[in-house]
Amino acid sequence: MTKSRWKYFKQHKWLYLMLAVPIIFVLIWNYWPMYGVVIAFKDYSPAFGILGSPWVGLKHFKRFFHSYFFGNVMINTLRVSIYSLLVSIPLPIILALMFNEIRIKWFKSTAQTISYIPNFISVVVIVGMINFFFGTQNGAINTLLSAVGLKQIDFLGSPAWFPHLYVWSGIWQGVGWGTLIYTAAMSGIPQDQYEAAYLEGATRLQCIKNITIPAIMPTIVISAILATGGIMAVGFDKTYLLQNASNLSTSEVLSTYTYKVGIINGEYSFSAAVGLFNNIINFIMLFVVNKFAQKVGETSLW
Amino acid sequence: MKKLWKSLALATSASALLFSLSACGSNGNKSSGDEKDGKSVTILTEDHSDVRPKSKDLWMWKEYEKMSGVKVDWTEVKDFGEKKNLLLSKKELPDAFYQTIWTNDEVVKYGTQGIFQPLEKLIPKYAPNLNKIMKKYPDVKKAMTTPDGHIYSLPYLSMDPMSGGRTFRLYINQKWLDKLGLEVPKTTEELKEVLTQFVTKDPNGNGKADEQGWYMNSGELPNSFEKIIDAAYGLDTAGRTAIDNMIYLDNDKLQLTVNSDKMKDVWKYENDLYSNKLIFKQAFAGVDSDKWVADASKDVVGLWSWVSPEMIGEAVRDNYTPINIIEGPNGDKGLVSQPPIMGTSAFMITKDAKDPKELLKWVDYFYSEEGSEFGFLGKEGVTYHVVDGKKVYVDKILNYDKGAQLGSYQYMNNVYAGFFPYLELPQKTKEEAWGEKPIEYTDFTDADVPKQLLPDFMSTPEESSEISTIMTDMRNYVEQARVKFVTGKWNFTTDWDNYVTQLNKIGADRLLKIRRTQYARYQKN
Amino acid sequence: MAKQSAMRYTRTKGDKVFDVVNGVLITIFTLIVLYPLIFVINASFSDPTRIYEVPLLLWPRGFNWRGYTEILKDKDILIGFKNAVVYTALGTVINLVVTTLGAYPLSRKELKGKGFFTLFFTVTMFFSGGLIPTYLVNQQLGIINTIWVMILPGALGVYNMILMRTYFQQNIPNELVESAYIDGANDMQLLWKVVLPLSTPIIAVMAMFYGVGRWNDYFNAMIYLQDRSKFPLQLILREILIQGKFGDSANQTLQGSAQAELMMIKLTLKYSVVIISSLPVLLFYPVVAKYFEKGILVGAIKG
Repeated sequence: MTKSRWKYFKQHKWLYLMLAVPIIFVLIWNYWPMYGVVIAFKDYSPAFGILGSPWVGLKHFKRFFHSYFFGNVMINTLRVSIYSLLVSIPLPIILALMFNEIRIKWFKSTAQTISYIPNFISVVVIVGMINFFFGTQNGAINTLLSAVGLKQIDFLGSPAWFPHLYVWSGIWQGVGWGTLIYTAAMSGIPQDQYEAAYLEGATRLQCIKNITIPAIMPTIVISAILATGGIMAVGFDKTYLLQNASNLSTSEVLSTYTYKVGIINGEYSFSAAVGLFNNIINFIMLFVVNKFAQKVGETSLW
Repeated sequence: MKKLWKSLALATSASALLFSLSACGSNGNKSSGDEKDGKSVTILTEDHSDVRPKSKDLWMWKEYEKMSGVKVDWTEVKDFGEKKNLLLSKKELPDAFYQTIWTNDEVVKYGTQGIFQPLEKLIPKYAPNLNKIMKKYPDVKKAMTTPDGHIYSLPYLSMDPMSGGRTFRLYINQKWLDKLGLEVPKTTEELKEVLTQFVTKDPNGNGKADEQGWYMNSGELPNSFEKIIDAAYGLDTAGRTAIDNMIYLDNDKLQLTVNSDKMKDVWKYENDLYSNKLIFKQAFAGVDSDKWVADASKDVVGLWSWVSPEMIGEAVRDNYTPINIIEGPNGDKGLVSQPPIMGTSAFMITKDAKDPKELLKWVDYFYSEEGSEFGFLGKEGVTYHVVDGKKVYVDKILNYDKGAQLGSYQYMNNVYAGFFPYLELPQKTKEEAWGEKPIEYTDFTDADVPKQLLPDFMSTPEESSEISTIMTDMRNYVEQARVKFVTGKWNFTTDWDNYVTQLNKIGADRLLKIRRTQYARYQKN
Repeated sequence: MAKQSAMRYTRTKGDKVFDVVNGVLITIFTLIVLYPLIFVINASFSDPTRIYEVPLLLWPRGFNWRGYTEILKDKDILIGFKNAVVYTALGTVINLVVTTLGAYPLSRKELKGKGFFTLFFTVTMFFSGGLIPTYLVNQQLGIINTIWVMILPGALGVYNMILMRTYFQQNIPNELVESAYIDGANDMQLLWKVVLPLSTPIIAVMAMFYGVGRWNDYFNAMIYLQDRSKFPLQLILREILIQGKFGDSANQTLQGSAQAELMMIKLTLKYSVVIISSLPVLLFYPVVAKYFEKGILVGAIKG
């Protein structure tokens, strides 16, 4: 028994030696600083350091939960992020499948390259363009609307429109980039599978359904699980820049709210408490979705 | 595969080469500061090397080193706001922080915790110039004193209400007034009349109805314009900073602005302007400052508001006449000014400073008349000349390719970011120095300056943690409510009461109570 | 890659319709996505006060080069560019090495405690000490304000590692691994000689993901670097774009004519700097994209 274990280890020692490298990196830069989460339960001050600052228990959590806007902020955050997940998980897959079916090589690579470009444009410029397109006064879209005799829409100032603006501008910017991982997965599919299918008279759609999708399924599942693990994270920069007094009732999300209460006033403990709350919810989500994936399919995170 | 690794390897070696080059470059200009006669201090300040030379290379600091005999070892930090709390966690701090931004809450917190040294005992002896000012203007001392009676930081001061960006005013399109034969409006009533004519009578003469009344980038309305209207409705009795803190004085009693009937009148007036299209339709959403400046260059802006006229761009700034005072229907009026003590975090001495007296002496020079002139104008014959009794910058500054003000930054340390430990010169002197014709304001008298200009109060740590949540929530709620009232989505007769109730839910009463405590403490200081 | 097969097999009518519809949809999509690029390019050559005029910008308005000539004058941008290249190249190489060394063992079923190890890594995606303790750690390591602080922290992206692991699991034929074991290869040899050659697409994607991440990162630089001469391009870019956008009213930055003047310069630079900063990534893409095609080899080897 021990002998076979020794033999196993001898044969596979490299697996563990390799794994040691990322583990060391993670231990130093992720686990070592982790004691810092305690500042969520303290009144952190640089004068006393992290360990020396006084304990205050759940004070910061209470402050957050009892805030007038707590419920509103939570709902806004979930609304935007769930909406975003529902759209941003399937669309890159569909687009990647469409790219994959293009037969003309130059067209394919041109379209793909162009689709990645918006990913590199700074959020500040993106928001500038959103304002330009969707403004009520001389905005491109509203000019068009009134030209065809329709009523103008206050896209930027209306709480109802904020989630759409946020999510779809994100899609506009990121969908092409999001196809990358699927394109890579698809390029690993052996060509002979398609050839065999064609010989048997399968149509294109059948090939997609029976060959391509099953082949990239594990990648889809894993990306989806990881994405739900970020459910509470709504990007700060774009939200903050798109936010204004008139759409505040839907655009105030956790990150912007924490910024206003905590960061501006240098209250790191408060921000840390909100961050911790955030992460616990994310982690629970990840666990639940992963369990679900384990039950339904074969793929899961661990 | 091999190709991929090859290209990666190539990239790596190329970048390693680049890096070694840059390493050489930075080693070359590292000067080892050898001290001459012992007096040497370390001071941390914000990095402004995007607009001017490094502090150690700046003319003014080299000059002051000769004058004071103190050698300063400057540390410059970019993005100070993000880093300040990290910097404090270092074991060894610099001797002092110069011209950095800290909130009052932070000053109190770190002072009480021993990071900043208390200075109130040293000031009378080692900072005579500042002491003289504090004696002459008791408000200065009041604003600097913390709840526990200490002074941990030195102020940035501007005694002239027209200087240092203290006062918000309206800027009205004089070209249009002339064209339509109108006078500069003096009351809210006249203002509305003038704006109505602006938007209906095509004063820019292009045949299009593209003229706007009040027009600025979205979100600016409550900041500058509304405060000027506040003054016309009696909410400016304690000045501009007080309005920011949602307070005013009603017959010497401290009250909240946001739930008062006067606020309701202000919003009613704004609603009147807005519904008559005299305030830009997108005042609350969707216009950034780039677009505003671009539009303004096409002469479509009738009225805007700020502390100085340059914002709108060189091409059109001279079209606008400043209005300091607008009188309301009940005869209320006043200058929308900050108190002379514009910042409290200009200079702090830390626990690690061995010789706080020397540092105080060093900085105190700039609170003298001579020192503040040196800090802005430099030295006669070197950075300025006297022409017809006026002090004007020398040609190399005036003819600097990005303008005289940026030109002066190349010699003197007066980049407006954070607060100087410094006494600001009168606006007239500054404008003369830039070679401009000073703007004369004739529409106000000293009586228009509110008798009490309240600063940001110093809070105890307990107060500040309570206030910060209430203030954030109230600001949020008020902001939303303002849009709804002004754009007419909420009705003043039916929705106002609910609005006030919600404010109370957020903690308006509590806030007022704390503010009153702070005000009482302030008066006692 | 479907090209050859298309020639060999006659397409059905349905397939032709499919191709046309697909082509049209992709074309529409491409045009929608292309417009921002056209806009930014045009804006970078335009008079900044005329960018937002109606109708939409389809060609430069008030054509001028000032945005670009100003960049060439700005030595901060040039130095930043060079620094960014260094950080990105070195950082990405380390990323690829560390990620592969993590992803490969986790993809092998021979590894014991896989669930534990995965959890060990995943936890770090959710619980971090936050900025201050991380800063203190780097301080203790003595790497603040050095090139290492831009390269070593963040050497492993757990998200990417998991994607890579999934790729290995899915795309490395088990028979190949078994036969390599039988031939007496150890896991290091296996990784180097069998797995990596079959994995160019995922390596290419990872290089893109990490490379772009490194290239765009400004936050670490902002927190950990002090000398302007070490700043990467994105930090300088941020200075230009964000100036005054996130500040509160208490923080009045530049004032008066200096502010107006700087605003004009920044207005002029705003778009050209976006072009300059995304150019390297765009040029890099076609190089990497070639390796996507290499995946076809997998089939060949397998067959």
